[in-house]
Amino acid sequence: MSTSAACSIDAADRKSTWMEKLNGPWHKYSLWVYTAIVLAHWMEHLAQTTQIYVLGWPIPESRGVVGLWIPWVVKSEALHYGYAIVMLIAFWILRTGFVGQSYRWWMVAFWIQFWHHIEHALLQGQAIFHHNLFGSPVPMSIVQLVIPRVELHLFYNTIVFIPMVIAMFYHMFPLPGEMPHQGCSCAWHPRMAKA
Amino acid sequence: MNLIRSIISLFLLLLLAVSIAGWMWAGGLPSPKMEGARFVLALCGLASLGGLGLLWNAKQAVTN
Repeated sequence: MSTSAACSIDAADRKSTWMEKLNGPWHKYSLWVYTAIVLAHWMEHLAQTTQIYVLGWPIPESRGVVGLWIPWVVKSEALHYGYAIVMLIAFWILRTGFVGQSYRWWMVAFWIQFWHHIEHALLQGQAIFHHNLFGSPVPMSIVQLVIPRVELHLFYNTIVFIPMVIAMFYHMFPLPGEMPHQGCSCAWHPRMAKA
Repeated sequence: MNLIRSIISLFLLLLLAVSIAGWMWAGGLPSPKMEGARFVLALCGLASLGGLGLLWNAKQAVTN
């Protein structure tokens, strides 16, 4: 009977880490879940803007969809901050699955969301300490000093979402030189030249 | 590919429509809120158009 002294794990047999799985075989599913969350959040913002701009509701009563039934949800800085930090973390965790152009656009979205998150962190801090900045009667972020809150966060979500969706598009339809470097199954098919 | 681009484009056009609706609504705000709101709404509209441009001008591969 032979015994092995030291046992070395072959690279092929090494179990993947969670990060490797999320950016490898699970990348497509992770991005689908992430997209669903982003779109649900968008529906809330679009519902709110419809209530204000189209239906003419007063801003305090324009609470999106969920906020109509559960008003405290919209008024809660914690919920808004929670979404911002979840989005930021997801951007960071899922970034290594992107390559080339899609990676660049994904990181553009990440850095913009980083600032968006800072603004929400300021709001959350004021809610926690019950002390509003700049002598404001309501929590106030920096850019909110000059831009009304509804429009400001509509803007933030827009400029985060667009590079994000461009990144996803280039990820689904990569350039030929980039596709071999993708370790996931997100690519639909190589983009072909017109006949 | 065009199906995906079309779906994304619909959403971007929706954002553009929201920006335009917001611009019209913001006219009733007092200064300087009106200027601030219209400024970012204009940026939203431009960003939507820029996104459409990027989507539909994406370079395609050259095959032999």
